[in-house]
Amino acid sequence: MFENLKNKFEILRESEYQQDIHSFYIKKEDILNVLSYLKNSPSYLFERLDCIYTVDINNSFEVIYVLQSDKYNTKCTINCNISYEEEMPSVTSIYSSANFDEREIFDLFGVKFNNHPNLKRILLPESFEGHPLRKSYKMQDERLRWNNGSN
Amino acid sequence: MSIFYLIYIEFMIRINAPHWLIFALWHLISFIFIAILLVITVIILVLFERKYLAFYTRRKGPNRVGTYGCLQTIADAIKLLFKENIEPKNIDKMIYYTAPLLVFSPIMTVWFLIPFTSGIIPFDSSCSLLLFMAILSIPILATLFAGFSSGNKYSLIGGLRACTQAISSEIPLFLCLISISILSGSMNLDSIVKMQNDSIFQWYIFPNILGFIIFFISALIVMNRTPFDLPEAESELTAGYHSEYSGMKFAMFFLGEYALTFILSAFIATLFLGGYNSPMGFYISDLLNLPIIFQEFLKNIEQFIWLMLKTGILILIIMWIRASYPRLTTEKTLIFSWYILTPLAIFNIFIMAIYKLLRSIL
Amino acid sequence: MEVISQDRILDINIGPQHPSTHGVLRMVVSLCGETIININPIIGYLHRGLEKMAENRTYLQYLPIVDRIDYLSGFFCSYAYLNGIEKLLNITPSEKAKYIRTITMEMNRITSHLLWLGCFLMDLGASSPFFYAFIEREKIIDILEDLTGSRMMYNYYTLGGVKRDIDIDILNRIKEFSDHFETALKEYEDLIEGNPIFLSRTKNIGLINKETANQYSITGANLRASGIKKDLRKDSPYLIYNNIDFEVPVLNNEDSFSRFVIRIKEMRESKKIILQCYNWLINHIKDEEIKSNINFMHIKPEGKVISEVESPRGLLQCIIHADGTKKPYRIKWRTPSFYSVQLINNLAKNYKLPDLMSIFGSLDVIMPEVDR
Repeated sequence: MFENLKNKFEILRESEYQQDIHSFYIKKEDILNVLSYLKNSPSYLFERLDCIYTVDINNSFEVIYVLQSDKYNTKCTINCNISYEEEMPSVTSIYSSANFDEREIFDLFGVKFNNHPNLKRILLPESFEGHPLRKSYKMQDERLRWNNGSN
Repeated sequence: MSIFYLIYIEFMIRINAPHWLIFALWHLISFIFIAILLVITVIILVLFERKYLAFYTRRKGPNRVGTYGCLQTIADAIKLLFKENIEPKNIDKMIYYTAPLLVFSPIMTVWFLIPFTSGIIPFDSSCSLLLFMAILSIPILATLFAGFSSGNKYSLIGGLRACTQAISSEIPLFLCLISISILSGSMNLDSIVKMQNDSIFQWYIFPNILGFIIFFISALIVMNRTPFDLPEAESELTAGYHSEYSGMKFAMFFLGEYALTFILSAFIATLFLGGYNSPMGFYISDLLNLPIIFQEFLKNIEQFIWLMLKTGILILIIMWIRASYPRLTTEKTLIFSWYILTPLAIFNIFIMAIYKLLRSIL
Repeated sequence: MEVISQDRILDINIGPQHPSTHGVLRMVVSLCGETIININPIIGYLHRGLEKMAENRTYLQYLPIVDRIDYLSGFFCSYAYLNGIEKLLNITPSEKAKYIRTITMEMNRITSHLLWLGCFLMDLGASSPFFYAFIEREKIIDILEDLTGSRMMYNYYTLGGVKRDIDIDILNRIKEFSDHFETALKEYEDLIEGNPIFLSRTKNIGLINKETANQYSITGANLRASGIKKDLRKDSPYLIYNNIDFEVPVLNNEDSFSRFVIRIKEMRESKKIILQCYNWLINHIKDEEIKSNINFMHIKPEGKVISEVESPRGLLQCIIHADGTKKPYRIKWRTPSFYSVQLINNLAKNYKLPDLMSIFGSLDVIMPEVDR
């Protein structure tokens, strides 16, 4: 199914979720083109962006876009690997629902999104320091650390 | 003049009281009597409403203080009395403290105009309908005062809503009063009641059914009852114009609201449902062979019970509406009263005038 | 649109403590008169860091917390979480466990919808329907309490099934309830649906067209009220939904009223599902296997999974990245209300202030789910 996508854009890597959901790793410069292609191309029609989330892995961020196509009843994810300092382009122009998602990622991971209409903290107060979902984040208060034993 | 007044005068002259005292004391006694009556009625009414709504929603209602919760309102009133006086920062003090007074005292005054029995008419004026119209506009001023002086945006919106709503509803309300005075040829409430005394078909609801409906709906708007309780719409404005009032000041608004409900229902009963007249056309006390003074006394009690029964039925209907309807929006309330109620009320005056003319010819 | 000068605009702050924001949503509403110019929803007042908490706990320790993500429909959250782990470990729950999960989840869907119904009508100013809805809700909650031991935070599911078996007494009570439930639904419809004031406040208000719904990633009943037939239970059936005969109600009116009608219809469908599950369970009451034998304490799954469930509010996803240790590497919750809140500015703009409550209430937003 994804032959067109692979021909049109450079796919760095592919992986799979447990239940046959394909995920494609692409360059971050391509993200806007890929998403608008997937959304509008009649062979995909990924009309909905279920969510965007980020994983702090291998000393870099992986920003993951979960897409849903009603017509073909499939899902796929588009992944971007970026370093801690890099900024992502905002996809709010393509999917409006990305607005809160990107704010949440900015809030909890500190990833900046270019051209975002209102990039502010969303879940945590403005005065909060640090980005708690980063693996390097240390809890300031000794009492809040819980179950810090070995894995 | 009523028999009580004659007995009173007789008594006062016997003890050689000065003339001014006789006059002043009579008014004082009736004032105290009526004021206590109003407070008691409101207390009963609040409890009754809670029990009644509980019945509708399959709950028990208040059942902790006293038997079946009969002392609940009194306990609430005592609690409110002892509450701390909380004064918000950005208020206009003078207006802020005037508002609760202004809401209760005019309502009390209107209460005096009602003929309770043929013997007890606290304030018998030849233009009591006119007085009613004039005084009833004052509590609305109080809600506006409360809304503006509290320094709270919710209160402000609530006050504005109360004001626009009151203006739009009072016009059909007063137009219905005009149709009543066309029918009766009088503005005196007692003579309006006396003209409905022969039988149930003499009641003004029968020629003036349209007026009754319009009056009832506009009264609902004036009372701020569901579905027109916009000024204190809980889900939008928390508590509306009295958000910033606590303790006894809040109790004043609360009491005023219930008193207004009761008084307007009593007015509807007086104007359209024959007031204190018995619907049977005769009084039970007339059938008994008793000395005239006892008979007169019993008759008065009977008349009072009839008035309260009629008022009670109207209040039941109002509470029933509250239990079953959601709230309208401001816009729709205004459209309803300006575009539907007001033209209908004007039309109703014409109908009543023609009816009156035809009756005098035939 | 005409430009309104700044001095005619009144900013009011609705929430975080306000009767009709269903918890702790804060909305900064700009008003001109009573017309809404702009709404800025501010969330985060109930943020408990559930995603961060997952990283510090083992899979078993995280399980009871999962119910708190959406306290009105806890079963759905714990199903989504456990389903993800089961997929990673290749565990398939037994048939009976699947049926018990389905029946409890559908009952939970009814309680959630009933609470929404009561609160929605409360927002519109009607007090009685709230109590009527709670009377029925109480019956289900009593059954669930006897089954699971808790009224709201059930913590009932476990790896490969459920913790306690369902017995004949509880099944009979479920049957009794679902037989009676139709009369209650009829009562709500009689009381609410024909009411002219209710109609005037909900019809043609808060329109979500198909494009907006997709743009904002709206799911669940709100999406189906906009004419898109999308229900995970039908599209990619999980548990035993492909053995069960039920319908997905769809309406095309896009307004608040159709969202109300859809939810009433959904409760009817849930009742049908419950009865079918009951019929299966009553014949298999002797089946013993209700959970897997794997020790939950020591599981070390590996891989990544997107586990989905159709919750009462829409599509609930639990995305687990597991790295072969005792603790999850990253858990992401995709909750439907988070996306509905975004929409409120689009929907309520240029309506009056009272309409805001009717629109917001009809979206069925619940705050713990938004903030997580």
